[in-house]
Amino acid sequence: MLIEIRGLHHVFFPGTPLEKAALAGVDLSVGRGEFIALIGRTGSGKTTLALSLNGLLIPTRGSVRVGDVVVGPSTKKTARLRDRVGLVFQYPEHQLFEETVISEISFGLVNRGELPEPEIRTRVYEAARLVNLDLDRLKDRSPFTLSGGEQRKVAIASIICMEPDILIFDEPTQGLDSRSRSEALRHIKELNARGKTVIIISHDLEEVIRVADRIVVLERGKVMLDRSPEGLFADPETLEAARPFLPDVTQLLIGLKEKGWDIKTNTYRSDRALTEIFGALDRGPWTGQGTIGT
Amino acid sequence: MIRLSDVSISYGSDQDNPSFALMGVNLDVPEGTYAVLIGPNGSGKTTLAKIIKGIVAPTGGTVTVAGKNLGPEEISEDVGLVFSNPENQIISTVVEEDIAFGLENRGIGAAEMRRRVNRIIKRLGLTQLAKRLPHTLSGGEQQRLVIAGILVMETKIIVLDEATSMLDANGKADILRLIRELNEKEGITVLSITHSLVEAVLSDIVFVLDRGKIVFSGTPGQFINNDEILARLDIELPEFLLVLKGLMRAGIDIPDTALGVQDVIGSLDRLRREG
Repeated sequence: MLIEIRGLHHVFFPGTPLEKAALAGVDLSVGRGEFIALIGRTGSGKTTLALSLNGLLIPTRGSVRVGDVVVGPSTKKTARLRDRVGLVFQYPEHQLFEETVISEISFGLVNRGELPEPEIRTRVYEAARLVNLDLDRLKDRSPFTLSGGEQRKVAIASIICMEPDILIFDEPTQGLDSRSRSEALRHIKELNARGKTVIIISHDLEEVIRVADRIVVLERGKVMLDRSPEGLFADPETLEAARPFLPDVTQLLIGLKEKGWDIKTNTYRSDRALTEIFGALDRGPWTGQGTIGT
Repeated sequence: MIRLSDVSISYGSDQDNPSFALMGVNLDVPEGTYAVLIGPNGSGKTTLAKIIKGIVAPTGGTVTVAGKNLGPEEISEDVGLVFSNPENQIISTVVEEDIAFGLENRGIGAAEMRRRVNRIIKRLGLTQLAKRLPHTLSGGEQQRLVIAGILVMETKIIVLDEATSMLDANGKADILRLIRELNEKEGITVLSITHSLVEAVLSDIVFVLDRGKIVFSGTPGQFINNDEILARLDIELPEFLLVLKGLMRAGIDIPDTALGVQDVIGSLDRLRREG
């Protein structure tokens, strides 16, 4: 396993009236190349977990291992972890600060001072290509003059060019319109297809269910569910546990079933849902999108 | 009501060749309507919200709010604006004081202020939170507080600019429920700017803004069935709306406004029972 989290606890402000246990014993293993969606309400510990994976937070108890780097309560330095785990915060464009797009993206590499200039340039172009940013056109512009979507791409490219094995995205579609949202998810999926291990944090299961291999639901600082997307619908107990996060289509089917309809509720897909509803309404089979039935 | 007639706003230093953020926008939200405005990032949505409130003056056209034409430097007191981040709109350190802020500012007497604040606290279910520190509330509760501060001024028109975009699923559902309740039970006129198509179909009327122009207005049902507009904006309908579209295209008689999950469950179940 690439990532092993064992008995991870994180307590903020311990011993004060503001003491808050954000993580209360998380166990989680992630294999190389996996695409994980971390789902949960605000305050469930999603972001704390991400910060622990990236070494920005040190465990109060338990441990985080990424590759051969292990971080526990007594660890002092976590820079090696940070090299392997790239964390894209919410609204990453708020962290832009350089004068040009190219210096913004290359900032981390230049700062690290390990690579010769031409190599840095190659990496920056590769990162820009991965996020679909037209660097030849934009490289000398101030990042602040770009559109919101372009700014976000610049911020993500600046993390990708550090070549971390693992990329964590915290609510990457927050504040994006429908078009940019599917585009962003497509790019993240592509990064995964090129070998990056991806963890995407979201409070919207519907959005990530189609791209992720595994859905991990956090509740009160613990892993409540850990299933494949299909596995969420496999049995009634799991479905019930996941209910607050279930997609609208599933909610619709469950609502109808609760009204006494004889239908299956184990899908989030519209075509399957329509087949179920048409069957129950006795309208004959649903014959496909846009077809006028009887 | 909110009415924009031929509203434009241009910027840039070259007066012969200006850039337009809004171009000849006509928009009519009758009193008591729940309207939704959607459009890509950068289409001019927030500018439009600011024009309705009077924070930004249009370079052309007229804005009518609650029957009154808005003057060039006039801020409309009839409109309450709710932005995406409630923390930017909360001023005081105690929930009830924050609700009272606008009244205090307007010089309303203590007794009257108390009475009005108490009424709003009760109406918006904030009783348990009245003495709390606003920053300890959840995002949804904070947004509720912002709305309380608007309603206490007896505002009848609320414009929301992505007011649920920073909230988690619970907070979103809570605020959407509140907005609908205020609209249905109290006749508050709502214009909600959003990226959420699932929210868009909860409304009575959907407007689509693209590159500074209104390119569609119609019911939610008409919107999800308008393939030309969906293709133009590159909109992929969420699965739930694909279900609604499939039902409508098959001639199944569900209403074409206020299309929440619970509404659709109700409509479908009635259809089945009535055969």
